[in-house]
Amino acid sequence: MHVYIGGAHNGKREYVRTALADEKVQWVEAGDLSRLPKPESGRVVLAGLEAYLSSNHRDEESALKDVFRFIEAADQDRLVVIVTDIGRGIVPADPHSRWLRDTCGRLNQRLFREAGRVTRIWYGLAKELK
Amino acid sequence: MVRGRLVFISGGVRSGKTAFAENWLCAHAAGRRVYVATGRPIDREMRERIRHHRQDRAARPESWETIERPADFSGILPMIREGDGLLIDCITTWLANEMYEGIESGLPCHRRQGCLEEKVEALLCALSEMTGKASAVVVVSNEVLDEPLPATADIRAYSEMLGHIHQRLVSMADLAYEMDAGIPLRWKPENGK
Repeated sequence: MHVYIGGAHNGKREYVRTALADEKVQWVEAGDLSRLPKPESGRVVLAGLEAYLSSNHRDEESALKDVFRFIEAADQDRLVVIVTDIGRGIVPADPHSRWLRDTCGRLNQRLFREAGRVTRIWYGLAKELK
Repeated sequence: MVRGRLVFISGGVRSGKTAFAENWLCAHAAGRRVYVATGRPIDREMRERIRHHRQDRAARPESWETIERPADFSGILPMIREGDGLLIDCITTWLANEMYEGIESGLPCHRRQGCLEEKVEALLCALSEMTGKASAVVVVSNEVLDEPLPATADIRAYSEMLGHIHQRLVSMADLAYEMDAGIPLRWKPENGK
């Protein structure tokens, strides 16, 4: 698994799209979905998890279970996950936003642990973290 | 004449980005040091903030010229002399000022079709022209995009535009640094001096 992380509007999707321009990709934009599909056998990109978790989950355990069911079913050598870093701002006033921020933080920690590669995108530039 | 270098420096609040920018400019600029301030003294907190930045600059061993320019940077061009070192502080404030330009008429820029896009192109164009005259142009901005999606449409539009501007600036810049707790991380160029 290759994980890309960066702040919002930093050009993460564009960077991945360019890197995979010659490949046939199952691009899963989870933010628009009410449940995750089955990953196909080839190249898979999973993005928009923050919005997906925000609208479909209220409990961290079931949220992580749901995401990792998808991840474990995909071909690890051909799976790309794009996550947005939402953990550096002021603690949100609304409890659901606080829950989301914590859940995404722990999701990212686990993704980084299991990923073979982690790349950070900063305004279109890339740095390998792992 | 050789084109001046364009430097982009971004960091969190009180991460030391202005101090780093000032030091960089002192080490690399040939002529006058010119500080382009974008803050508007609209309330007590802003007046305090401006006073603080002025004090910090006055306490430095070298002297600085200050240009107050909340928006429309093309107006700075005639004030620049050959070889000047410019420090523009900062893009986040500039964008907020431009977004609400015309608010007194009831229709701020960000609600007018294509207005903000035009201002962004004018900004990039002005910066490029500045590097034709100045020995260095250092542009400072803030890291504010690492938090949950903002709730209001205005702030969402602001965040999206800021991310876009930062990407364009990084792509134009000769050097790009991210400041974290006073420590600069150089993103561009990745290797070499």
